[in-house]
Amino acid sequence: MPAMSENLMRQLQLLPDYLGSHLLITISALSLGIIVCLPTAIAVTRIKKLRWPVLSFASVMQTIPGIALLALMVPLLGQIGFVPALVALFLYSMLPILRNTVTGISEVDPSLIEAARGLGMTSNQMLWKVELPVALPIIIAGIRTSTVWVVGTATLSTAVGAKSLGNYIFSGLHIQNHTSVLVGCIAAALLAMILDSLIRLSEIAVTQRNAFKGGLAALGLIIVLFGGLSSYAFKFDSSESRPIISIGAKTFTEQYILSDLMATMLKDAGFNIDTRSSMGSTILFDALKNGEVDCYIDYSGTIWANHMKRSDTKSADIVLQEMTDWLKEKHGVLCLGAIGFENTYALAVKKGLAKSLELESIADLSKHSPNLLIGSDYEFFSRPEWFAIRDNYNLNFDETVSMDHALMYAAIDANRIDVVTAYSTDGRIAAHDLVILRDPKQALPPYDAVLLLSPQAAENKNLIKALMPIIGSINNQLMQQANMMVDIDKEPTQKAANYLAENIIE
Amino acid sequence: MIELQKVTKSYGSSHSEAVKDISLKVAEGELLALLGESGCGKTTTLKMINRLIEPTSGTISVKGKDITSLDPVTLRRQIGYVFQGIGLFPHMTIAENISIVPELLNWEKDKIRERTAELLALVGLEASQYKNRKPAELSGGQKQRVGVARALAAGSKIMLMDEPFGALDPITRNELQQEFSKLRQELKLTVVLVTHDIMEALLLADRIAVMQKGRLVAVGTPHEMMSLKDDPYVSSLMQTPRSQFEKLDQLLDRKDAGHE
Ligand SMILES: Nc1ncnc2c1ncn2[C@@H]1O[C@H](COP(=O)(O)OP(=O)(O)O)[C@@H](O)[C@H]1O
Ligand SMILES: [Mg+2]
Repeated sequence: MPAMSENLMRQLQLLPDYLGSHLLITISALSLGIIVCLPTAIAVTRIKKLRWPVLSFASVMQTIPGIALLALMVPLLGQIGFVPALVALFLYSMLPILRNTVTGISEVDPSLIEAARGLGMTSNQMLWKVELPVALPIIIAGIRTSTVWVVGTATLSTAVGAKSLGNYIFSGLHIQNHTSVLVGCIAAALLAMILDSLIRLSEIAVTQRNAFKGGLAALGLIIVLFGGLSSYAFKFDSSESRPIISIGAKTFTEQYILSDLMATMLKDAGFNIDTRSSMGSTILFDALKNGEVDCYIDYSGTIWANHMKRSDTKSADIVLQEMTDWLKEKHGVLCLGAIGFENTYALAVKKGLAKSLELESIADLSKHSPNLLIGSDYEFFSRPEWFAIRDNYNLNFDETVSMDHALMYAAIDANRIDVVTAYSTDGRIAAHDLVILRDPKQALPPYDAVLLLSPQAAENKNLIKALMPIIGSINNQLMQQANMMVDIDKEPTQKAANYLAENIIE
Repeated sequence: MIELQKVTKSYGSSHSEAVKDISLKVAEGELLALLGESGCGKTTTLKMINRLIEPTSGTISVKGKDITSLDPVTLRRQIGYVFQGIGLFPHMTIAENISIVPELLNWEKDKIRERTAELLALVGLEASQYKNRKPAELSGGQKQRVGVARALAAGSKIMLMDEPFGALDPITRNELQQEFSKLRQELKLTVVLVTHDIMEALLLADRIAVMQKGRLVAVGTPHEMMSLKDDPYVSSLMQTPRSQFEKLDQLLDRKDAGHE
């Protein structure tokens, strides 16, 4: 119980930051949605030819999964954070507002339209005095639907580098911190409910012309906006002239710990820092290239296969060297050096299965693979590494199952899958009684953890000096220990980062 | 006051015309009933008078002016219109519904408020009790009264009324008809009243124009209509009230006889 409430307290301390950002994105996207969609919808009811293209466009936007729409905005707009999140959520908000406004106006009783015309209203007066007021409940219903959707979908903007309540959910899911997930979900649900009720209250106030309810709705909205954004605005205010260093992190335990470690080191060196965690892997690399993220930890094999598009395998040293040169020449990105540990993709099976099938290396899998299921994260089965192992070892699994990385261990525990792709630094390999199968053909490239700096950060001598101690200082065993603290012992990532800091190999 | 000359209307490319070659005059202060069965073109004719519908051919003039030379919006604000089905705006209060045209004409707020109260009194509704209600809170008869009040609001002397007393129970209808009859004489209104109810036409109209399948088949006073013999359609139409009168006569006679 004390541990629980301590965890909860720690989560709640993050609330002003996450909620403020979430609210800012949500309100901006919705306002933009209303400002753009209402006039568009009115135009559509006047010019029938527009109806099909406009509504189809909005429908298509709606059918694109939220996470994909957000991710697409990053290369399209060439930046991460607030702007792509805003644009994606704006596109997402359009359909209900457009459709309800168009439907509401076109379904106004034609006899009312005729009466309005017969009494001598101009087309404009008809719109403002009859069509819009009569359609108001349907229009408001559309805005409310949009509000709820946008508040919910905004949690995904975390993945494109904009902070939101989704930070709780992403990191909580990945490090199996259920309190964090719950705090994020409850906060988002409450926010959606409060905004929805306030809009409903404003509608009632307007239709009943009740000044009291109108005042109440306005007051509620002001409280929500100020309450939500004050801490956020205050943060901007108090930020001193020192530039903010933005630290990136992907979506797994090790990354959260290492970003906390870097944050601590930079803070100690007097830097203002901002952490952008739970970002998609390619989005993070793009963000580093154009300087929106200043530093993060990546893996040599990932750069080698995904960005350099290399499918050949070289020794770790050569990969590291070629990668460093390529990054510098191609993108101006500085690889400060290898951290010291390697986190390769590895195939792992339960000890029992390894014994009964006499599995020792990946090669031993080939004849059994038609009877086995393999599970991995969402990325792996479309990565070049998978094709490399599959083809090199003639693997032909009964089924490949993609799932959240954090759930793979539960799945293999429950015998739902037989083989998992583990990260070699993952503390859960030992904890779940798994063994790693050797890769004698070296089909998988080496995955040395490397510290990358954006072109701008590469010029910053003080920054380099502050981060230098990480280079060559964390070996496999140390990283595995730190990961276990979080994954098995459920310690906060900051604690694991502190543990690393204390044990850094000088 | 209102004159139609060889007015024809055909909707779209359909071959049969909804209104065919109608010529008609309505004198100032007169109530003309446009009588005919459903679908014969009464509403179409009425709507052409305030340019809700443009005729295919022919000319219409109001107060001596060809209406095509007038701005339709201005024209409509000068002519009261009671719609088939009333068409009160559900989101507006009764007072707001009545003050639509005065507001469109930018009357002063005080004048509008006075006028609204006056009109509600005129159509027999207690202003303090009804002005802030929504149409949904009124009975059918009360809505009809508000519809008439709204048409009268800007003080127009011309009224076009499309089956204003239809869809009411006979008692309420009779009551409203009587009141309206008085009202239009007091206000010296020129009225075109569309109806499919022969009794209504006979009781309220100064003259009756009978339409059949888009054509005008006869025009005359109620008395002339009852005695008209040479048009088979009109005489068959008048057969209904005549047989009703006879039946009523019989009933009254028997009742009187019984008392003696
Ligand atoms: N907007 C329209 N489009 C096409 N046909 C119409 C339209 N309005 C009315 N009509 C047709 O014109 C004829 C006369 O209609 P209307 O004037 O409404 O008759 P009434 O009011 O006498 O019942 C009918 O046959 C009707 O179907
Ligand atoms: Mg009609």
